Amino acid sequence: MLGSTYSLIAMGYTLVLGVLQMLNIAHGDVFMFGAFLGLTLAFLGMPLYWSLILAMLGAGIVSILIERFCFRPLRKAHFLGPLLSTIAFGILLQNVATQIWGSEPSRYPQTTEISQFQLGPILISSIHIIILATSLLLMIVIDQFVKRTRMGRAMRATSENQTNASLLGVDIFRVFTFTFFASGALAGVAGVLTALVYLQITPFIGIRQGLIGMVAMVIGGLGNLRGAMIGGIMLGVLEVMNDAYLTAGYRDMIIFGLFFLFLMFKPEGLFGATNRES
Amino acid sequence: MSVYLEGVLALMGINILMALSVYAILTTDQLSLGNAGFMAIGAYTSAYLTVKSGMPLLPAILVGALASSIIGLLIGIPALRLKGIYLVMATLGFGEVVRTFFMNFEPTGGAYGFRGPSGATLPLIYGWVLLSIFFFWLLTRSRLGRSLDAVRDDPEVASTVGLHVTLLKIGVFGFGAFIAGVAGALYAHYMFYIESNNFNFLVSAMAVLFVILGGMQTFWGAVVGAIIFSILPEALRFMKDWRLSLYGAVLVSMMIFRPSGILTRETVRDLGEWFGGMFRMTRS
Amino acid sequence: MEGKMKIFLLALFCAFALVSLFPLISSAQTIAGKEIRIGAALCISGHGANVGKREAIGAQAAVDAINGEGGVTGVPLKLYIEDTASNPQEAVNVVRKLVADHKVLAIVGPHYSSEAEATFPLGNQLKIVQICVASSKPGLSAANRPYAFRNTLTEDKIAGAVVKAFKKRYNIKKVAIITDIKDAVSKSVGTMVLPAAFKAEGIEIITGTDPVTFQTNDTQFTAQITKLKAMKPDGVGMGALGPDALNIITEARRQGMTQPFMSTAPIMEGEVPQLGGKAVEGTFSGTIWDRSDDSPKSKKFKGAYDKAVRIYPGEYTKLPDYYAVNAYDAVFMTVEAIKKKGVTNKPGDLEKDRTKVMEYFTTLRDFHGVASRGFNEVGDGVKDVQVYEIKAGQWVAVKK
Repeated sequence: MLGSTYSLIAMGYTLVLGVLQMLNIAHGDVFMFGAFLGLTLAFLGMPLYWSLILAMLGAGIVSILIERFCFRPLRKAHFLGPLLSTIAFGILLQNVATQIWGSEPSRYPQTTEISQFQLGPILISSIHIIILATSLLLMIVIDQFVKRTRMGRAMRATSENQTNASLLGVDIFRVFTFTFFASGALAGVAGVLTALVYLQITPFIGIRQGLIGMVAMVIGGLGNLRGAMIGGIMLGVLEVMNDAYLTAGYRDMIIFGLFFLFLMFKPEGLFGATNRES
Repeated sequence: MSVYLEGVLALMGINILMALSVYAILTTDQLSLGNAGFMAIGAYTSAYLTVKSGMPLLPAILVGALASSIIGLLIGIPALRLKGIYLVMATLGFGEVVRTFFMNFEPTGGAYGFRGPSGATLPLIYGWVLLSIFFFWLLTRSRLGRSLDAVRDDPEVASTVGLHVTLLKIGVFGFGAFIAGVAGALYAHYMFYIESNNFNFLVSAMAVLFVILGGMQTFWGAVVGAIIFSILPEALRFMKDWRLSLYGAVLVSMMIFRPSGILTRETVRDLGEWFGGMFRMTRS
Repeated sequence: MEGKMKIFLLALFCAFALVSLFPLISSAQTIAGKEIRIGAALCISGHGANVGKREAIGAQAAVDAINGEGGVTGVPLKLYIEDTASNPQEAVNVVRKLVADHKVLAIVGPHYSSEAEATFPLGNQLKIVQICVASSKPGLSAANRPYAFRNTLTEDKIAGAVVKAFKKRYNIKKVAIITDIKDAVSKSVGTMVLPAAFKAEGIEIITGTDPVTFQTNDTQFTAQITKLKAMKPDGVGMGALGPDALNIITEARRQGMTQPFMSTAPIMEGEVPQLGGKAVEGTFSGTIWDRSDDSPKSKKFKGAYDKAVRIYPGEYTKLPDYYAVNAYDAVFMTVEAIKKKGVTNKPGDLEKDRTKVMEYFTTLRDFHGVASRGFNEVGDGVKDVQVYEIKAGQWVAVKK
């Protein structure tokens, strides 16, 4: 289901926003890179599970690069410096991807069998189930991780107050690195799943997917992981409904309109924001 | 002047205006990542007026910019309750809503775009650029300018001293939108054709980057940033298909090595003294 | 005796003088300068990087072929390629640069309609011919006479031929249309070109004036196919680009639709037959040239292309497409204009020379290119259409 890839992307955004109070605009391009890494690995003959895991690692590493180049050196700069730097980094990623994989769509090799059934105007196939299940699994893993593990507690402490956290002995730089890695890994998984089912990927798919992921995050409630997940699925359903009953042209207007209205009038989202700025 | 140089300067002038539109709003510590939306409104309105209603260019630019500034004021009102990253996202959303609106709006062409506007010459573009620069220069010397500084540095103190913080914060949105609207109108009448994709998120983002990289402490930073980063893609042509990748890398590097931008308040003051000194020398 | 000798010598001298003056009096062309400059304003980076590079190679292939045969009366051609980055502002800058700095006689490019919409009026202002080799947005050349030319066939001509063949093969009586509403060309195909072509063949359009819609590069089509399936058409017409068409048909087969699909030239790109497998068998389309063409001119082009690939080597530029052919033909057309209109290539004659090229193109109707015949009265390309269907993973020409 398309909504699940939005969920994964939104969860990645939320992790970075929660811990660092900042948006990583290049997140969508990390998603794109994950998709291409998965594609390259699949063409090298690797089975699905391996290409998924390696693409996850690769995307996580790219995400760490973003942290190192766009966030860490700019801690003393204007608070929006990192955000703008990620915009430029995104341009870099898109063009490097174009040089490596070309500007035209690349298609993922079809490897898995699919069966399907109908639910109203929505057709659900077994691949959709796999994606939904994978996303749910990842969400539960992240959720429990943040709640129960030491790193998870460190992340929460850092998101509350960086100074206090480091005074309490938390290595906030390790927290940053890990947060970005996790965020990127989620995006990477989303990328491979998208490439697997839906299409053809180009170096420019990250732009729109990234923006919609951001909308999902806002609708779910900034900083709220579960909210991001549900927000993503809701947007996915909304898109399908729009195309079924209206025309595709209105789709983005409705989505960004909702984005704008939520920010203006319901910034805590549907499920409550946990962002300290709200 | 070579036709090529003319073209580079024309787009540079429009970029300067876009950067200034971002700067105008930034004076009250509000960052708008959606000024391409205001640009689009100015572009489409003025183009429609000149092409379909036969209005002469200058009034059409004014009407387009006015339409844009009205929307800017309307945006400024709900923007009051948003801070920092929320405002950034809201303005981003606004820009996207405007873009998708024009993609669907048939009277101005919808997905087919709008053909026909013309007449933006280099003197006209730079007339507006110089006018805007002059206006900002006046602002730095005026009480209003100092009020804006106060609002940015400490809004609570500012309001206790009697400054209408609310009005100022909304007003700059209108003002910034006006300048962006002018930029859009000039763009339409220079490019002969506009479509919704010409006003996408990247355009808004680049306008903000010009200001941050040029230096957001003074309006000169916006000007210098726009100039340098308009020339850079042309200068990098020798890199062939690696050109845009290198452009992105240069931007990231600049953010790392000079995060406060090229021109800071001190630099501008120093440059001012240096120029003033030279001027005095030549006069005697 | 002396007098007669003098007269005889004088006569001989006059005859000799006349003979040696003859070349100057006759209209033999002399090209000044050490090179003839042709410009290319194409996408070397950005969304169109792959196609733009192929077009550049196609143009270079023509330049190489002509230079290999001695150039134009001994003077070689030189191709100046500048990158538009798939972006209208850059396209405008690049056209200006080619005109002012490189002083070219004509420009091959740009690629995208959105670029051409901005550069065509500029070309009229600067008085230089642009031969766009890809855009097929209706009315674009017509709105920009006299210097704008497009060596492409507008979609309506292709649609007519394909619809005819489609109807005949599958006995189509009623059809449903699905269209992109973001990409201008696809939108016009889906909302204007195909309906007109279907009407002309007396085919009923179930979707009427409300086709099923999607946006370029959408990631799912489930809702759209569900709608189409419910209409029970005999066939489906698509206003789409290759990758989207591929996904539409794949999704349709997933949902159990067996009807055949058709569209116009854009779906001949994007490896639809190779990637679609059984799902896309029997899909109809049409274009002006395909790699399977083995005519002598086509073979010569393919050979020259293989050598010219050196300027942008790589996975995605190895094989030419019909855009590259259009670019190749465009260069040959420009050279024919140069020869037939007596272009002098002198620096002082630059504007006159450029106008001569424009004048030649305006009436060029019987050019013998690989896939080009010239331009019609509004500046769009004149070409023959070949209808194709997908058979066993390839586009195969449909016999008339």
